[in-house]
Amino acid sequence: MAKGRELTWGEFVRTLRLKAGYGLRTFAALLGFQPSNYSNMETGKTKPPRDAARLREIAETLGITDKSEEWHRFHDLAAKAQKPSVPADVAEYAATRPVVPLLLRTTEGKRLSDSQIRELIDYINKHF
Amino acid sequence: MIVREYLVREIEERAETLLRDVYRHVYPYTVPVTAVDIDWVAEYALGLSFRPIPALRARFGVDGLLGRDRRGQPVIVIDTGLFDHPNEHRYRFTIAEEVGHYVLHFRHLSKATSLEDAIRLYLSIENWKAAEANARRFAAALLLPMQSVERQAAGIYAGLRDGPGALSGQELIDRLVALLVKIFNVSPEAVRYRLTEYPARLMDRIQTALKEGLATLPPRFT
Repeated sequence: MAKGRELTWGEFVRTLRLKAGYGLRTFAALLGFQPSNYSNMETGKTKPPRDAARLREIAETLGITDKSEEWHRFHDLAAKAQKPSVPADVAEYAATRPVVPLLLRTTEGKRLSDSQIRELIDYINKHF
Repeated sequence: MIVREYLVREIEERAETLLRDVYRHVYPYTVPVTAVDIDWVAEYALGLSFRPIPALRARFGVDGLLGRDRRGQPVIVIDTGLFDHPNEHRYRFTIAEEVGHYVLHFRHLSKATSLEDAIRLYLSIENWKAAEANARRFAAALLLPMQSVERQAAGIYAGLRDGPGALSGQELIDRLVALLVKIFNVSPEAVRYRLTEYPARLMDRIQTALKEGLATLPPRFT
């Protein structure tokens, strides 16, 4: 959860989704999204839908009551997410702190060598 | 580094405790009796998040991995193809294994504070297979809780035996496995393997019931 800054639309939705008892794939399936597309929206890699009907559908599935405080926040954050900006602390982290893999599962149960794991880390950080 | 090899009983208990805790409002007296929403367990109970990354499997032979994101939070990085695949069985097992790694091994691994530390730690695990076996057992216990499988299998056996049309022993077993696959949303291989495991030894009990013409499954063998 974000500390010291406002939640993003994705973080807000994730909090409500988990409180409502939906795992990521279950929720994506309910709304007819491909899981990776939905995940990318929640993590801010892609923007939330612009379409009002689609946004309403998401809000309703989360159990947000029409015109409630949560409803307004949901739509305000969705509108804000359409603007091309990266929160300062996120940009700072991205520049200085890489994603670190700790345990991984290969299809053939093999371990990766030092050079393979470095290549993997580079690759993940490029796509994260 | 040596990863601790857990006893099967310990792993079953850890998985059951996690399920009881996270589902306590839905199932106050038992563990879930149908498919566990593994994403929700990982996200809600443990604070893990997911990041699908394309071609992870094709390029590195990696289905999924447990790591730390840029904020230092635990994250499951998963191959996008697996994440989006309509057949969820392999995906669910992969996530459940990563949850197993998180519950059983993450405390030791989280000592790594830099990338170099993490690489060194990863390469220094001597008994890698034991870590994998721990995680696999944990995944099976999470997706197929023994007491729920036992309860469902007993009900299905009695129902199929009493149902219309005479089924051969093999047909009854195949039908029972297929129903458990649907109920728990896991692969037939995972169900068949789970049915052979101690302490319930369900497959042996089914075979005994069939051989002796019993209407219900016999109690656990002592």
